[in-house]
This record gives sequence, structure tokens and C-alpha cells, in this order.
Amino acid sequence: MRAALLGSVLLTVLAFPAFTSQGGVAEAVRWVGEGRYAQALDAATKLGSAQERGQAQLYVLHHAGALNEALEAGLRGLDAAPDDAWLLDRCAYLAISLGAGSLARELCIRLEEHATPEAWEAAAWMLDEAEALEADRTAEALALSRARWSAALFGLASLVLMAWWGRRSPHSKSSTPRAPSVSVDGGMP
Amino acid sequence: MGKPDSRRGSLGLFVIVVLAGAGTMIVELAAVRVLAPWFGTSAAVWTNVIGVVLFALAFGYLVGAQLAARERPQASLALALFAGAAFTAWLPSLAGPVAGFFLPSGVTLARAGDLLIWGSLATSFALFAPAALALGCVGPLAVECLHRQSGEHAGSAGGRVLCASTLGSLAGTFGTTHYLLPTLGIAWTFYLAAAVMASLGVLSWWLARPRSTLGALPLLLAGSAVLGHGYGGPQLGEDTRLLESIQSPYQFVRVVERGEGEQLSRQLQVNEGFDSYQSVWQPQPGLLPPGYYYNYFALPAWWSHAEGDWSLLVLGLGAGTAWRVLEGTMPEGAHLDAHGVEIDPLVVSLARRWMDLPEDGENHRTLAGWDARAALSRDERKFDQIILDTYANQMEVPPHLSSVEFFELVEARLTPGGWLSINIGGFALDDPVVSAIAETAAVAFGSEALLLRVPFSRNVVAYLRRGVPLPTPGSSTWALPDGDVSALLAPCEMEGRWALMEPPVVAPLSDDRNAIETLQRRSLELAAAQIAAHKLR
Repeated sequence: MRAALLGSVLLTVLAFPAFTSQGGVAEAVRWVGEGRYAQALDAATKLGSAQERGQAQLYVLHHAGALNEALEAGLRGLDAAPDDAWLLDRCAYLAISLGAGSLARELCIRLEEHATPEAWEAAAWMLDEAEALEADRTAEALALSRARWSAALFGLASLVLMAWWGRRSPHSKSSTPRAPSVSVDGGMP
Repeated sequence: MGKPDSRRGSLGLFVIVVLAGAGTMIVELAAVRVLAPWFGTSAAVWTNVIGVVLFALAFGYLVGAQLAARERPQASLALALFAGAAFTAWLPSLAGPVAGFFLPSGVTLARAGDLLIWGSLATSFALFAPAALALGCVGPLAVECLHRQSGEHAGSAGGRVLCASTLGSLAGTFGTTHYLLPTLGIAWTFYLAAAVMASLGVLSWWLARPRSTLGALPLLLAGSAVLGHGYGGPQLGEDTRLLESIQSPYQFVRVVERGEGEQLSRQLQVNEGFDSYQSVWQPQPGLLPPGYYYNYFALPAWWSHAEGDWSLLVLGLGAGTAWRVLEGTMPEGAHLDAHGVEIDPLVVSLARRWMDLPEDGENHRTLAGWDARAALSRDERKFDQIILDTYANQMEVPPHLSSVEFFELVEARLTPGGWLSINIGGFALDDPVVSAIAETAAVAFGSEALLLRVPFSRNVVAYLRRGVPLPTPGSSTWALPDGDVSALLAPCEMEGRWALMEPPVVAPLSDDRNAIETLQRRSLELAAAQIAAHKLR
């Protein structure tokens, strides 16, 4: 598959929350700045606080282009800190990028409750995107159900008609005299 | 009816039967092409189309058998042909709305697995069954007419009609693929078939000497279809401009453009109904932005410390993206001797017009119109690197290009220490398609395969090397001099972003047993499940 890029996730500015820019988190951020993601992930994984670990792992993995893993790390961080606005924002963004509409919507709604006024606009934009994605997923599910039912109905209706028609013995209304030697009605096998 | 009349009538009937047989195959073969931009041309889609057409033909035979018992089978024959013409003429205009009904926009490839199968089945029923049913009536009616006109035995009449119909189908089969579709395109192929059927209807109507002219109504319907919208393939996105599109003998191909200035990029799309592409172009050769797997084809020349000529063969050249990436990234002192095989010559023509694919010369040689395996079988040359990128449509890997026998052939065409780089569409390192292809290649090479997940993408690049160990993160052979190419390595060094695949005892994929299509569907299902598994606890 020659796949398209996964959405618009190409390294938007991933500013890290200022309050965590110290200690182990700072080390992870520094490694990312140097393009050394394996070391950065090691540093992030060693962090004691689940919230900081989630933040740092998401930051590293997102920069490294591992989107599924970054989202999973962010969600683990949210287990420990459900109201962390930075994690909510980043997770919502990743969920949108991965096409997980309903998750993105949940995250956006929670984000709107906890975001600062400056972040409301971004949160509202993401909520719109999430709802559009959800609508796409709903349309998808409907289309699949439509396709299954249509195919089944077409097939069944045709079979029933064929059975009904097949039982009716063709009788000649022809006024044309038939050749005496013919005893079988014409028809394709 | 006198003897000359009878002979003329029989001849007319055979003309009708031959051309109706051709029409049936035109509808069937062009049907797959109509669906391809939405659903691809996988074996599942072919199966659905063939199945629906056979089913409708069977129904048509039954209907024809009933109509044959009526007073004027010749008039019924004319009506069947008119109906076939009308249903066929409307196919190009109806394809988009019907396919869109069963496969709405916004569906991503990761979620398309079941929709590709059920959507193509339902669309085939809705679009092609009516025309095939009408054409199915032709055979029994023709047999009856012949039988009544000439007094032949039913079996003799049936046999001769079957023979004529099958010969017509044969002509329709070859003519559609090799002449009609490449020359006329999909819409006009259908219009031509419809026009022929309508003309046959007129001939049959004339032979029947009808008392009314109502039979001309379907003819008008068929004619009105030409005034419809015709066939245009899937819609383009708002920010996308169409540069050129063509119907080749293999597929619907188009070049689209996005962005301006430095952000300008072009994509070659082949039957692409989802968010995918076959080749990409940017104004300058060299690395593409992050997320494009082509960048990872640049690594082997650096790992090998290439100097002098670096002979490269790209199987599945497309518009030459891999060439352009390598040309802009070769190590100092090395220069590219680029070869490429592309099955579709019209892709090469389009690429030369829009995507800077060089004409053949000393350093660039393109073999167009050749299947990758056939080309490899006939070429004894050895290459420093072979790139395998032979996808069809969105996600279809041809089985004969993923078998252990094929990979053995590839290995034989590599210089000692030469590299095979494979683009594999997959959502994880343990994705069933990735595992199967990498393990199969590993068996053929008798060594491990290195897998790297391409950041920001759903692609994995697999590397195999002839007779020399592969570099792995942390090994002395892995690191590269600082630069743009070495920067590609860092994201892959993390746990879970790379793997070494050991060769299993038995190759998962062979010419004899190859379940690649099933694995591709499984891969899509797993991807959808992976996304759905993310939950806010």
C-alpha cells in the first residue's frame, strides 16, 4: 500500500508544558531535540510520576512518528491525571489524526472543560473535526449495513423470482407451426 | 416464411447472438474497471462482478425461456436487446452515485476492509445485474427463433447459438481489454456496446415485423444516457487539481497536484478511491517530507558506503519517485545507474509529462509494459539494490510478486552484498502482510529480514541482503555520517519500531499457496481494531 501521510500530524509545534520542563522530562525533551529518540524514550519511561511519564512518552513518540503508541501513552497519562489539559489536547489531536472520532470527541469535550480561554478556539476546532470524523464513521457503518442488506436482498429476491419463474412451465402461445421432429423447447443450458 | 427469408432471418439471428455475446463480455470486463476506482481490482472484486453477472445471466436464461414460449419471440428478443442497451448506456453515469452510496467519501483505507467486499457486491448487483439479465434472455430467444424459422432440432439450434454466442464473447473479451478500453475509455466503451445492442434490437424488431413502435422507448432511454454526466472516477479533494487522467489497458490513472511554490507536490493515483497514491513528485530530487516510505530506500547505498556506480532496479517504477529520492541522496562519489520496470506504459508516459521521469539514456533505463517477474526472469544482470514496490490500486500486492519463488529470483539478481528493499503496507511490525512477506523473503534469502516502521505512515520497509549480515540499531554497521539520511534512522531505533525477522522453516507464501489477499483483508481489520482499542478510561 502506498499510503498517504497519516493526516496532518507532521510535527505541528509540540510545545511541552512549562511546568514539567525540569528533571527527567527535560532530559527527554533534550534528547528529542538532538534527534535521539531511543534515549528520549528511555528517559521518559523512567519517570516516576505517571502524569509526567505519559506526557513525556507522548511527546517523544509523537515526534518520532509513532502515532498509535503516542496516543496510548497519552491515555495512560490521563488515567493518572484526567484533567491534564496538555494531555487532553495532544491526545485529542492524535485521535483525530488516527481517525478515532468518538475518542477524539470525548477528549475534546473534557478539554473544553479544562482548557484555558486561549485554548478554547483550538479545542472548538478539534471538536468540530472530531464530530466530522464521527459522522464519517457513522456513514461508514451505515454504508456497510446498506451494502450487506442490499446484496442479500438482491440475491434473495432474484432467487425467489427464479424459483417462482422456474416452476412455471413455459407453454406455447405460438401460432407458428413447429417442426415435427422437435420435442424439446429451445433454451440455453 | 420462404427459404431465402428463413436464411436471411437465421443470418440476422447469428449476428445478433455474436454481438450480444460480445456485449456481455464488454459489460463484464468493463464492469471491473468501472468499480476499480472505488473498490480496486482484487480477486474479491473480480469474484463479485463475475458472480453477479453469472447469476443475472442465469436469471436471464430463465426469463428468456419463458418469453420464448410466447407468440412472437423475435419481438421479445428485440425488447431484451433494447433493455440491455438502456441498462448498459446508463452504467457510466450511474457508477459514481451507486458506488458512492455503498462507499461514502471519508472512508479511510484502514477501515475499508469489509466495505470493499460488500460494497462491490451490492454495487455490482445494482449496476450490472439488469444489463446481464437482459442479455441473458437473448440466448434462449435466439434458439427459439432459429428453431421456429428453420425447423432445426432444438439441440442443433441451441448448439449453434451457443457457439456463436461464445465466439462473440471471445471477441468481446479480447477487444475490450486490448482495444476498446484503452482507445475509447470506459464511458464510450459502454456507449458503443449500448449502441450496438440497440441496433441489434432494431434489427430484431424489423425481423419480427412488429405492430407497435413501443419497443423504441428503451432505445430513447439508452440514447439519453449519452447526454448524462459520463464517467469520471472518484471526486477530487477541494485542494487538489487534476492535471491529466487516462484509461490505460490496466487501470484508471491520473496525476493530481496540490499546494503552491515550495509546497507544490504531485501524485500519481491508480484506481485510488481512498487516501493513497502510487507515486509522488516534488520539484527537487532528494528526500521527501517525513512520512514517505521512499526516503527509506536511500539507506542501503549509505550502509554499503557506495562508491562509483550504484546499480539500482526498481520493480514497480510508477512515476519514478524512488529514482528521484535516490538521485538526490546518493553518498558523495557514488552515482546512480537507474533501471526500472513498470507494467503500464501509459503510467510511464504520464510520468514523463508531469513528474520529470527521465527519458531512457545512459543512466536511466525503463522497461515499460513488462511484469516485474517476467522482466526479472529475462534479465541476467546483477544489481546493487533492488526495490520492490509493486502495489496495485490501494493495497493489492500481486501474489506472484510475493512468493518465495519470486524472492529467490530477486536474490539471484543481486550482487554479493546487494540489497532488496521492500515497501510493505502494514500497520505494525506483526501485521499479517508484513510478517508473511518478510518471512517469505527471508526464506528465499536464507537470512534475516530487517523491518523498519516508517514514521508518520502505515508502511514498513523490509531490507534483505545477499550473503552479508544486516545492520541493526546499536551495531557498528548501523550508524551513518551525520546528515539528512542518517536522521531517518533515529525514529526507527526505538523499541517496537524495528525488528529482525528470522526465516521460518516454510515460506508462508509460494506460487502454489498464496493467501496474500486474505492477509491484506486481515491487516485492515486489525488496523481498524487497533484504532478502536484506544479508549479513555
